[in-house]
Amino acid sequence: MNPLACDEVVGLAPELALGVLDGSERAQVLSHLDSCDTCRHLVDDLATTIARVVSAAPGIDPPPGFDRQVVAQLAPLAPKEPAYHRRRRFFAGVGAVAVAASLSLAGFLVASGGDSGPVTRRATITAAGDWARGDVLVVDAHPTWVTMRVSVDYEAANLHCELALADGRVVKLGTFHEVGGAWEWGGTIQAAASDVVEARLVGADGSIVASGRFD
Amino acid sequence: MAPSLSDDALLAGFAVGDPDASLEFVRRFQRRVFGLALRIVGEIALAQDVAQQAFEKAWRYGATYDPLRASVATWLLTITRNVAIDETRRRRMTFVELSDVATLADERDAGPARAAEVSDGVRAVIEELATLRPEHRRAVVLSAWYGRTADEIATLEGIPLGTAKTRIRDGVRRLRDRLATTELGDVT
Repeated sequence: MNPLACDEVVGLAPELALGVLDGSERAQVLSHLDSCDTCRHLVDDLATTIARVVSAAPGIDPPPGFDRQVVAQLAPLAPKEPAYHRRRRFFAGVGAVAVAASLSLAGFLVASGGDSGPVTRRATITAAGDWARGDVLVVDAHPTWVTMRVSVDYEAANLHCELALADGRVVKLGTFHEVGGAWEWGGTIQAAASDVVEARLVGADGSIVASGRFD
Repeated sequence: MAPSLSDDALLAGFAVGDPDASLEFVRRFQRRVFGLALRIVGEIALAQDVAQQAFEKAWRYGATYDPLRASVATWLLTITRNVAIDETRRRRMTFVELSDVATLADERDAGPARAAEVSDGVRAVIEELATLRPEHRRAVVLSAWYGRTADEIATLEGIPLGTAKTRIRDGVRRLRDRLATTELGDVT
């Protein structure tokens, strides 16, 4: 396989980003990208553009009943196990996520290592005796993005997660049920990243069992 | 399930298997997912299978969704496109319907279902597509919306392979330059 020069890769980059490059050329380009950050960045850039073009394709109504068919075929597959961490019960669904006063939360899971982006704040939370510990990242985005990773050494009652803000308000993120093992959670909050001062794990009796201040 | 839930929140419910959120998530995106699948595979039964696979992947890998990189719609349609292209390669399908290429300029006259899909971000893409030279637009649409290779486009258009590659390259680059100035988050 002959190595390609950058100018040759630049010419093939759109087809690679589109996913329509044939096998031999694809292999050559990918080999080049292994050692060329400039060309890799170009392909990433083009892939972003193409994803936008793809998302503009007009929809077509599927046959009647397709929606229920999709959900019905997914049902036998549940419950699923996450690829990286155990997550037996996640906040009992979106509807159970507690929301404080004027703050709202739209939570969803994030993958291990998926916290790329402009991370601006970090807090490490540790319980006395180190039986529970974790990291919380707050990303200065619009809206503010929060990821939380928690490890608990043994089965415990529910643990509630919350963030304390500089003005005294508390953002209640939700509850880890039947805690034990490693857990992840992520979501957005309607508060500025710079206003978040502390992350907490709160026990069933309302006491703070672990906390950590943000950098 | 409140219809006003954000796409992100719906994906959250879908990813954890909430029945109401799952049904609402599928209903919100099924038209776009099925439409893209049908364009690429060209067969209703197979498009249904592709769309089903795409939703299943979204359900399995909802945990990997990164809102900082793309909207839920863009993420889901990228999954759909990859599944559909894999299927066409396996089956060597040749169907192509070119009506989209001809009707791009008529977006403003589209029906309410299409209007619901057209956010500011989508509108920006459509408008930029319309500014491309027709031969470049056909090449980009055939590749992006139909998953066609340069070789297939050359055959369809009756042009040399090198010309097809040039049209794809120039069209995509121009779109990248023009769209780079608009917000990614606008795409829904």
